[in-house]
Order: sequence, then C-alpha cells, then structure tokens
Amino acid sequence: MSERVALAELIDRHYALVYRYAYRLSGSATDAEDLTQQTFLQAQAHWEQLRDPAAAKYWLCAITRNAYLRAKRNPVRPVSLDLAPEPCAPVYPEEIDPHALQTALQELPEEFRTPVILFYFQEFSYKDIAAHLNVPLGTVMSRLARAKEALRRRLVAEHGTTAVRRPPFPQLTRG
Amino acid sequence: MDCYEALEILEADAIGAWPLEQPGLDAARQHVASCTHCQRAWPQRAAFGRQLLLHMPAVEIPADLAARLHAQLAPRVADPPQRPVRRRLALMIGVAASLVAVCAWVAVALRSELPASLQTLQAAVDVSLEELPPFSGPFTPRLPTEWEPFFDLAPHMVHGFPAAAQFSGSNAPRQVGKLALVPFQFTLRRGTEPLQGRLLILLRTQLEPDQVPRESFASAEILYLPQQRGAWIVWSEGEYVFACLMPSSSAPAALQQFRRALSVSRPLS
Repeated sequence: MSERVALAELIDRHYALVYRYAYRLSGSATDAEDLTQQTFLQAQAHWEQLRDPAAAKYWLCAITRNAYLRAKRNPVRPVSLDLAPEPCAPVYPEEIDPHALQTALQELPEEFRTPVILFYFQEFSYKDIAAHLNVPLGTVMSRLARAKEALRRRLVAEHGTTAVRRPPFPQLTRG
Repeated sequence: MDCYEALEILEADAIGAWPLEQPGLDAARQHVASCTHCQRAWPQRAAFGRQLLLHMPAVEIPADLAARLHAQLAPRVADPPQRPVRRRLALMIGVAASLVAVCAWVAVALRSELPASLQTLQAAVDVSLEELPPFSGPFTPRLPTEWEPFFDLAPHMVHGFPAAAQFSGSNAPRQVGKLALVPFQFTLRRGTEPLQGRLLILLRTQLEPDQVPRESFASAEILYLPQQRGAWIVWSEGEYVFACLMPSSSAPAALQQFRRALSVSRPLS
C-alpha cells in the first residue's frame, strides 16, 4: 500500500476522532479544525514513526495533544486540585446541563481535563491514558478522581444546590 | 489510599476498566468497607460517571472536514517536498559558507554516508550502551557557537548543568558509525533518581531533507515511546541534527529538566 493511500485511509478512519478530541481539548471549533489539520500534517511528515497501524488512534491523539500544548505555549507544570480529604457530604447535581458540563470541563487544568476526555469520550483505557500521558496508571486514576470531584463541585454550584452560587474552581497549587 | 482513589478504583472495576493485573482493588474494597464517607458517596458517585457520559454535548463534525484534509495533504504525498524559495536560498548560502569547514569532516567521516530517516535516527539512539565499541580518538564536530558552553566532546560531553548536578558514570562520548553518541547521567538533587539518556549528533545532510526536524531546541518535538519506556526529542541546530533519548518512566519531567538545563546559557565549568 502506498503512503498516499495509507494516509488517505488514516484520515478517513480517524479524522472524526481527532477532531472531537481537539474540540474537547480546545473548546473551539476553529481551533479544533486547525489542530486536526496540524495533526495530519504531522502524521504525514513523520509517517515512518507509525510502526503499528492498530495504534494509529493513540499516535494521532498524542500528536493532537502536543500540538494543542504547543499552541497554548503553556509549559507543562505540575498542577494539583486541592480537595477535601474525603468526599464528605456528597451532593450531586440532580441534572446536568450539557453546556455547563462543557464549560466546567474546559476550565479544568489540562492535565486533569485530558484524562477525562480520553476515558469518557475517546474510549481510552486506563493503560492507554497512562501511556498517552507517560505517567503511572495510579496517577491517571488519581487525576480522574480529582477531576470528577472538581466537576461535581462546579456542577452542583451551577445547579444552585449549594449556598454559594458559583464558587471559584478548586484552588490550584503549582508544584 | 484516600477516599477519592478508592472510589475511582471501585468505579473503574464496576465498568470493567480496571486492569486485572493492577494491584489496588482489594485495598480499595477494604477502604470503602471501613469508611462511612465512601459508603455514603459510592452510589451517587458511580451514577455521576454515567451522567458525565450522557450529558456531554456531542461534537458536530464539520461536513466537509474530511474533504479539506484530503485536499490539504494528498498533493504533499504525491509530490516531492518543496522548500520555500527564501529558505532554500538561505540554506544554499549557509551551505556555501560552511562548506570549507565541513568538508574536511565530511571527507573523513561521512564520505559514504547515505541519507537516513528519522526512524534510522531513533534506532541509532536506542541502542544498548554496553554494545558500543570503546571510543578512541578525537571526535570534534564543529558545533554551533551557542552550544559550546554545554558541549566538550572529548573527553567529557556535558558542561554547564546546574551547580547541584552530580555527574556519575561514564560521560565519555562514543562514536557509532558516522554519528556521535553520548551517554549522560546526572542528578539534579540528592535523593532523586539520576536522569539518564543518550544524545546523538549527526549532520543535517545525513537525513533526508524532509526528515530534518525543526530548527532550534525551543521548538524541538517530544515523542513519547509506548509502554512508558521514555521519550525522545529531536531538533536541528544549523547543520547539525540532535536527538536525545530519555529511556525513563519519568521522561516528561526529565525532558523538562533537560530542556531547562540546555536552554540557559552558562559559563564553562
């Protein structure tokens, strides 16, 4: 199979997945399309790096994320979400407004947002996410847990079930 | 294990996402069994994960996106890569200016060198250090001026790392075919694992023109190896191409430290 045909197949098979991932990362249709184009341009330029066609999905998502981080010009720094020591007094939103969910997700720090996107919307396994982010599996699990807790708190506040209408996001600390 | 981690593991297990061979499930169950906070939180929390999935708005794919991608990419595959005129002119001038300096080395070391791909480059870096022949004789490619504070290829490769760096192991450069391959290891702080890696240097002409990575370390591309085996980073500086391999599970942090260490100008130590 020629490189051209293989690349065309790669586009047909994965462009929607790449676009969705780019959209959920960036929160913008324009940015998502730019990122999608960049992703496939990079894929074309570094075609020889795709050794296992079955892993193309993971390879493309990695390219997309790198392009997104470069576009943000935001160096990767350790970020933690400070949460209560235990999930006490659990209050969950009775219903979730899709727009509020998208907004809350977008406001998560990238290193917490990405695992949520990959796990819930890109069908990555824990192991896949760990390989994608190059972190231990336990770190993936921890980030997912904290991201969901942060989302819950934001959505509960958004829905008006707590005294504070719209509190700031959980305090960020940079390590 | 805290409450968040225990609940996350239980939720992953409930939907079949927790790897069987991964430890932690028993500990999570024990934690939840003895924790009233988790017992109260668990039922709604499991439902919350499903709610997230159900209520996230769908992403609408632009109707003609695939066609635009095909139109953008297909000609590039079919046609040989074209350099912009200005870049080609600058490259020609650069090549002409450095021809005298380079040709001696090329004549000695690179006469029979064939263009390589980035895959070849990666394979060249990813070798067992023990399998390399001992380095003998000088290897002194002319590095860009800005790199001189950091590199002194004989006998020690790396200078100018942070003052707290503790060098250990052999930093002596080794030569692999027509490439310079330099293992390095340094520790930034006591008590932390040393950062290990290999830096490979070769001439731009040893790569296919369309395989040469981006210019400058600042725009270097980081490529993560699967299975958390580490990462490698490639970039070009003038007529040289650099590839750095960090075979480590902590590769992102290591690469950031490596990037910082090399990005700051320091006097020769």
